[in-house]
Amino acid sequence: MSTSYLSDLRRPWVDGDKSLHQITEDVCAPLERGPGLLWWAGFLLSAAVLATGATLVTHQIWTGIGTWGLNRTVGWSFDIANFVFWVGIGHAGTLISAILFLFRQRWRTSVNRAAEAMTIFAVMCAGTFPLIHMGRPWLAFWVLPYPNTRGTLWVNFRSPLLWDVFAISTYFLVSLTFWYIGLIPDLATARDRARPGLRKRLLALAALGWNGSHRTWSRYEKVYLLLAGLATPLVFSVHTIVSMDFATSIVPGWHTTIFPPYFVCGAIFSGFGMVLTLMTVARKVMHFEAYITPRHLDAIGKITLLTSWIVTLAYSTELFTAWSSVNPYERFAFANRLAGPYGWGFGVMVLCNVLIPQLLWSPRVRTSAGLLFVISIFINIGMWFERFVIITVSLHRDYLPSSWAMYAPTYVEVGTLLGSFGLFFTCFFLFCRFLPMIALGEVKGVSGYARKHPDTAAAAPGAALASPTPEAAHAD
Amino acid sequence: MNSVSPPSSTAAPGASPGVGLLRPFQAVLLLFVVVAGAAAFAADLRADPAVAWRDLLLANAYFVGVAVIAGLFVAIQCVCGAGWHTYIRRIPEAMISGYLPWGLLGMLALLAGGHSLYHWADAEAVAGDAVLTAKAAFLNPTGFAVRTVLYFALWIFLAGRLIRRARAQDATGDVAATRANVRGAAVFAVLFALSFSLATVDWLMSLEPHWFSTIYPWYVFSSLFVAALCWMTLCVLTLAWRGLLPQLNAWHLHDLGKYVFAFSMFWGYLWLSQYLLIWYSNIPEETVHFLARERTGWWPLFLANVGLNTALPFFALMPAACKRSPRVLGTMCLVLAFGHLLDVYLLVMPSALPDGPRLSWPGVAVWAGVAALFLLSVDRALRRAPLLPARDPYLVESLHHHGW
Repeated sequence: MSTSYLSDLRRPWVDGDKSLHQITEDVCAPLERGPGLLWWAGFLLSAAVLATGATLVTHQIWTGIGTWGLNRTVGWSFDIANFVFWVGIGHAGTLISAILFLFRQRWRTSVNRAAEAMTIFAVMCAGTFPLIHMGRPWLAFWVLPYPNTRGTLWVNFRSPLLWDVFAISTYFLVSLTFWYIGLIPDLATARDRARPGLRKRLLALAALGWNGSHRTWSRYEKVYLLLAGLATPLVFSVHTIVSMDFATSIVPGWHTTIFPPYFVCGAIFSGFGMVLTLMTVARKVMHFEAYITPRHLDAIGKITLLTSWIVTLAYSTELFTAWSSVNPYERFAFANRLAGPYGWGFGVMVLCNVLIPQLLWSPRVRTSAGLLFVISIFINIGMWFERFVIITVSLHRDYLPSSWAMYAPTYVEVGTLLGSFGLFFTCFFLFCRFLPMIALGEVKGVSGYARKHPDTAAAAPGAALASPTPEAAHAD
Repeated sequence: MNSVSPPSSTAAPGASPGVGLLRPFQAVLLLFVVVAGAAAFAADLRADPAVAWRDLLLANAYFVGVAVIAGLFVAIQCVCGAGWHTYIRRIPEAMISGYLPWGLLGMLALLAGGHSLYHWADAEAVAGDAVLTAKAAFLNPTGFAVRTVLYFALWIFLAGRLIRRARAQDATGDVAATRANVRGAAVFAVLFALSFSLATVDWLMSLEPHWFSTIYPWYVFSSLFVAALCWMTLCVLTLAWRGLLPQLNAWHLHDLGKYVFAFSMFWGYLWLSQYLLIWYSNIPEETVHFLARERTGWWPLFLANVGLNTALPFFALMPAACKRSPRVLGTMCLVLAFGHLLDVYLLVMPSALPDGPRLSWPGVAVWAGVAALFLLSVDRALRRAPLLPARDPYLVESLHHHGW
C-alpha cells in the first residue's frame, strides 16, 4: 500500500513542503498569538454595523412594519429578498463540506471549515428576517405545530412558508452538527497545546474527550460520511422550498416550474461568490497562502463559472418560455422585468451574474486573488438583485393596472440589510479568532508530506470511510 | 512516481484494433432486428401514422439523448480532471460517435411525418389557432429542420474533437491533449446545455404545442442522463463478462452505481418539482398536461413511472454492496433503461392516444430495431480504437482505482 498511483498531473494541495507539525503550528498560530490590529479593526467595524442594524430593528419592532416602504401592491420585498439572499449564501458551505466530500474533491479540505462556518452564520442572518417580518417576534413560537389553547389557530401545513420553518431549522441543525463534529479533533489539538487555564478547560469541554486513538478516528470518519450523505439532500431541499414560497403562487414571474433547481443553483452560485470574498481576504490576512493556494482559487472559480452558466440557462429558459407560452400575462411580466421601471435591476443582475463571471474562463483570472475578490463582489451584488428582481418586480405591476405601484426601501430596511452583514462578519471574525479556520486533520492528509509517506501520514478523513473494505483504508 | 506507459499486459498503442461489444452472431441477429423494425414501421405507417411516427420519435429521441449525454459524461470527467473513469472511457466515446449520425437521419425522417406527428406542422391548423400562429416564428417545419441539423452538427463537431484528441494521445502520449480537452469539454458542456434545452422543446414539448413548463428541458435531460448511465454500465458489464476489461474492479462499478443512484434521485426531484408546482397552482393551461395522464388510462403507467425510476433505485442502489455487485447493478441498469424509456413514452404517446396506452407490436419492433441499431453503431465505433486509452495520464489512477 505504499505505492501512490496518483497521476503526475496532480499536485499536493499544500504548498511549501510543510511537515505535519508545521501545519499544526501554522493553523493554530492565529488562535494562540492573539488578535492583530487588522482583526480588531474589522471586528469593531462589523460590530458597529451590527449595532446600527439592531437599533433600527428595535425601532421597527417598537413602531411597526409601517416603517418599511411596503404598500398594498408590493407586500413582500426587501425583507424577503434579504432572507433568500442569506439562505442562498449558506448553500456553498454545505456543497463544499458534503457534496464535494462525496465527489472526492480533496481541495475542499482547506476551505471546508470556513465555508461551513459561513453557512451557519448565513442561515442565522436569514432566520432573523422572517422573525422581524412577523412584526411581533415574541409570538414566533406560533409557527411550531403543537396542540395549543389558541382555538382553531393552527399552522397551515399546506403553506410553503411552514415548510420553510422545517427545512431551514433542519438545515441549521444538521449544518451545525456537521461543523461541530468536524471541529472536534482540531479542538482537541488546540486543547493539548493550550496553557492551563480557562481556555484549556473550555477547549477540553468542547473536544468531548477526544483521544486520537485509531478507534476514535474510525468512528469519527463513519459519522462524517453519514452526515455528508444526510446533508446532501438538504442542499437541495432548503432552496427548493424557498423557491416554492414563490412558485406555488399564480403570480407571473413567480410561478414557473424551473424554480426549484434554478434557485438551488443560484444559491450555490451566490454562496461561492461569498466564499471567494471571504477566502481571498482570509488567506491574506491570516497568512494561509500555502493552504488556500491559487489552485484552490482556480477550483472555486470553476464552480462559480459553472453555476453562473446554469443560472444563465435558467434566465434564458424563463424568457424563452414566457415568449413561447403566448400567455399575455407571462409575456407582460417578463417584458416589464426587462424594460419596465425596474429594468435597470434586471440589467444589474445580468451584468453581475452572467457577463462578469465570464472572465472566469481565463485561468489567469481564476488564480488571481485580487481579480477574484472584485468579481465576487459583483456576484454578491448581482445575486441580491436577482432576488429583488424576482420578488419585487413581479409584484409591483399585477393583473389590475389601477393597483400598480412602485416600491422603494426606507432607511430602516437598508439599515436592517446592513445590520445583517454586520452580524455575519462579526460572527466570522469571532470564528477566525477562536477556532482553527482550516481543518487540520483533513488538510494534513492532502499535503505533500502525506503523499511522500503514504504509510505514516494519516489518511485523509474519508479515505477509510469511503471504503467498505478495510484494506482500502490506507489508500494513498 | 508512476509512469503513464501502458501496463505490459496490453498491446502497444495503435497496434491492436479495438474490440467490439458484440460477437459476430449477435451482430447478425441485431441486424435482423433492425430490418424487422424497419418493416414494422413501414407497416404501421399505413395502419396508424400518428402512432407510427411517435414510435420512431420515442425510440430515436431516447437514443439520441443517451448518445449525446454519454458524450457529456466524458466532457464532465474531462473538465473535472477525473481519473477513475479513464479505463472505461472508450465506451461512452463510442456511444456518442457511433449513434449520432443515425440519430440525425431519424430526426430528419420525422419531418416526413408532418402534422400526423406535430400539430403545429399543419398550416391550416396553425392558421385557425391564435396561439400556434403566435408561435409560428419558432415552431415551423423549416425552423425545426434547420435547428435539428445545427444541434447535431454542434454535437458531432465538438464531441468529435474531444475524441480525436484522446485517440491521438494513444500514439503520442502528449499530456497537452488532456489539457486541451479540458477546454474543449467545457465549451461542449455549455453549448450542449443550450442546444439540448432547445432540442427537447422542438422534439418533445412541441407535441403538446399549447402547453409549457420551464423545467421540461432539465427534466428530459435528467431522465436521459440516467438512461445514458445505464446503457454505459450495461456495455461496460458486457465487455467485462467477455473478459475484455480484466482490470475492472468493484470501485469502478461503485462509482457508476453512485452515478445511477444520484441521477435517479435527481430525476425524482425534478419530477416532483414539476408536478407539485403545477398541481399546487392549478392553472388550466398547465394542468392539461397532467390531466391527460391522470384522468385517463395512462394513470397506472404514470404512477409506475415514479415508482420504477425513483423508489426502486432508492432502495435497490442505496447499499454499497448493491452498487458493487455486477449482478444487482446490471439488473437495475436494465430496469432503469426501460424505466426511462417509459418516461419518454409517457411524454410522447398520450398526444396520439388520449384514452390510454395501447400495446402495439409494431411499436415494440420499432423500438427494438432502433435499440439494435444503437448497439450495432456503438459496436462499430468501439472497434475503431483500442479499448484502452493506453497513454492517458490518468490511466494508472483508473487501473488502480480504489475509491478515493
